[in-house]
Amino acid sequence: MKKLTARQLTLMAFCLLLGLCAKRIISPVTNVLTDFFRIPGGSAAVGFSLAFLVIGRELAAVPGAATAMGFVQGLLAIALGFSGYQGPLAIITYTLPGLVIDLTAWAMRDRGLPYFIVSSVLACEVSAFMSNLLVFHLGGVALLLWQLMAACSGVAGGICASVLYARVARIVRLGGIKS
Amino acid sequence: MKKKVLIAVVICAVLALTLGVGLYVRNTQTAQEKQNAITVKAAGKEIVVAVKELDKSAFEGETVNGKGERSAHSYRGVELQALLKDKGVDFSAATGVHVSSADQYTADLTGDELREAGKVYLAVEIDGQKVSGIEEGTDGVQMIVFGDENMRRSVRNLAVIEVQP
Repeated sequence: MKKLTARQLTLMAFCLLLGLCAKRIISPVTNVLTDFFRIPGGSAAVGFSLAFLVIGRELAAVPGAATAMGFVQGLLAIALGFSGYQGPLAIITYTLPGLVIDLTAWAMRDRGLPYFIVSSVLACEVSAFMSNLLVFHLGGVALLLWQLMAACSGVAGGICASVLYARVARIVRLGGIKS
Repeated sequence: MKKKVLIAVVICAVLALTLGVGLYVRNTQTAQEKQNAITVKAAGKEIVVAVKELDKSAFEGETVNGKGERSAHSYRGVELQALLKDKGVDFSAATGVHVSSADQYTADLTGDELREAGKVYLAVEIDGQKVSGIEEGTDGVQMIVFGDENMRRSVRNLAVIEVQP
């Protein structure tokens, strides 16, 4: 297995922490939407969290980086008490979206806007589905809305990820961040 | 260029679909919710109970949140089994209870939990504060399940209680 450099590890750690915090910062804003539509909050904010996993995966540029970041996020969420009602099962809901990001990165060659959107949307869908399965137990139209909210969040997160990645990658390539 | 247009069209379609489904879910608010009431479904019957009717007695207990922190509270409300008895619902052979809130949150109780005295309550007042409903200025109901290791089943904005045979 290829050895990770200190720079790759630092970028991964930075992105996973930003992702963990992003959801908590953006949640009060997205809850305005979910409260209006009368569905539990969460699915509308997840895209902004997972956007950083997509960015981290691309900056580290190693297979499995997103899965590893998701796993560490899950551990941190449990340790810091962010996991809510999911408890130890948060490991699954945090790791699986990372795995989906890695699989999308493996399946898609082009790293344009479509890649960031598709990767983020798929990860959000998996995250929302797992949260519903473990905690909310929504069904019917409410579940459809829950998943659609996750898709919208994924689209927004994907666009943000694409823009941010373009800027951060330039700095990294210029040597602004050194190992 | 074509790719960008396609992406924009797909995004707009997803947004429009989300808005449409969201407005549909919001507008399926039942008449009971508007009337500050909950619905009890049992044996094919639907019984509408006004929130005011639930303010029957005071009770106290300890709850545990998701972080494992314990806190003691005083409540006003009614024990679920007392409410069902009062409304003539026979739950002696019930296999469980499915509870849902106005914002689609759901929780399940087993038949044994329903029959256990001092286990499941419907609170309309917590620590001297009225439980607020989903609509601003309305009164709401929160289910309290004592003995749970977190508050996952402390459903707020309670709307429907379905007793399963």
